Order: sequence, then structure tokens, then C-alpha cells
Amino acid sequence: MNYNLYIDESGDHGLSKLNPNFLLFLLCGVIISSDEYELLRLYFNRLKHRIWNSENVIFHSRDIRKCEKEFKYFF
Amino acid sequence: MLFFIQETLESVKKNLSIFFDLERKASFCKELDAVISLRNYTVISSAIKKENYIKKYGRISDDVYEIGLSFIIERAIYFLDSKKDVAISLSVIIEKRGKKEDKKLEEHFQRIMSRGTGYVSPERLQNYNLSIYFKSKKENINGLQLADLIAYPIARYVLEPERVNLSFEVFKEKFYTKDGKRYGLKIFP
Repeated sequence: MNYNLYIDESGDHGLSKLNPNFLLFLLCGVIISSDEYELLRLYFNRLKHRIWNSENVIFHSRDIRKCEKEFKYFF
Repeated sequence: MLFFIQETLESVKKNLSIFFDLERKASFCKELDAVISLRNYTVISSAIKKENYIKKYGRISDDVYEIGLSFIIERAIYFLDSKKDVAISLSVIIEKRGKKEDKKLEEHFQRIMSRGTGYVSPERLQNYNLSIYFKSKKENINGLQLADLIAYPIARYVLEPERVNLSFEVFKEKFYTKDGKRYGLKIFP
């Protein structure tokens, strides 16, 4: 069985200039079996298709957050 | 800016307009919530509290990215041990940052493989066939996008655990836990 471990970060990894509002470096891993990953892809792509009519859309939380307050998802 | 397609500003603007339709937006959020809460995956994350870290180790010490990666791989091994499958391979997929950064991180990964981590010996790592891949954002990897979506709510939770954090609630059951301990969120130091 193969597992995938996807890793992304939040916050910058620098220690010289600190942002007083975000004194943290977070590394986030998502571990998922290949079988389950196929399902995840399917559901993500289905959502992308439904809203944008294309799979060629990249979900990026920082851009979502900076949008507007009604967009309270991941806010 | 909301999402980007094909990296052109025009297309970004065009796609942004979709979200002026509030109903559509709500429906998007609801469905994304559903996917994130219903899919079967496990979260293993590592938070470095910079102030504590600097007090303890100074500013010129190891790269916190590398420390975080060591923690995550260590706990991913605990997780795989619990699976009791005969043959397991683990692919680590990380978003490309820059040639220099990627090379440095890959070297760190190879060091982990040959020396192990604080709690996991190199022999134990060799039970699993580990490999590392760097992918660009353009490659549109949904797994990396999921990691991106949940990283910020976790960071907010670590910074202010008592504060209302609705997005964290959606996936908080996904952290790797064993014997009631949440190994999937390592806060250091």
C-alpha cells in the first residue's frame, strides 16, 4: 500500500524579522492512502467543475482569506 | 484576489466575479466543507513557536522548516506502524519553493533517512520505502491544496486556542491520535 504525505506551510520560516501577530511557523502534513487520494481528487475536481467548469483551478487559502469577510470559510 | 487560473490577472479578475454571487459562494463553501470533513485522511502537523525557539536555541540555529519536516516524518512513521500493512511505501510531496531551498530540504531529508530522528532509528525508517518529490503549484496537486487549506486554521488554533475557529472545527477530528494523545499536532518548543 502506498501512502502520500502532502506538506505545506503557514507563516514564514525566518527568525530574524518576526511578525508580532504571527509568531509561529507551521508545517502541515496530510497523510492519505493512494486509494483514498483518488477519492479526494475526484471530489475536489467535481467541485472545481461545478463552480468553474474546469479542473484548472488552484485552491489557495491565503487568496481566499484576503478576499472578503463574507467568505468566512477558512477565515 | 481569490483563486488563480493560468496566472493571468485578467483570468483572476474574471474568476473573482463568480463570488459576487453570494449564493454560489455559500454553496461552494458548504461543498468544500463537506469534502474536507468527510474524506479519509490524517493530519500530522508541527508548529514552531518562534519566540520560545529563539530563547532556547538562538536565531542562528537549524532551519525551522527542517525541524518541522523531521517531526512530521517521525510521526508519519508512528502512523504507518499502526497500519500493520506488510509492504508500505511513503511518498512525501512538498511544494517547490526555489532550487536552493529545495536542494537544502532534500539534503535534510536524506540526512533523516541515514541518521533517523530523535525517536525513530534509521532502521525503522527503512521499513518503509520513503521518497520525496517537489511539485510546483502549477501542477495543480489537490493534496497540496488540501494541506494549504487547513494549515492556516491550525496555525490560528495554536496561536489562540480559545478563540472561535470554525474552519478548524471542520477537520479537528483528523489529527493523528494514539491512546488519546494528539500526536498529529506537535508544538515546539
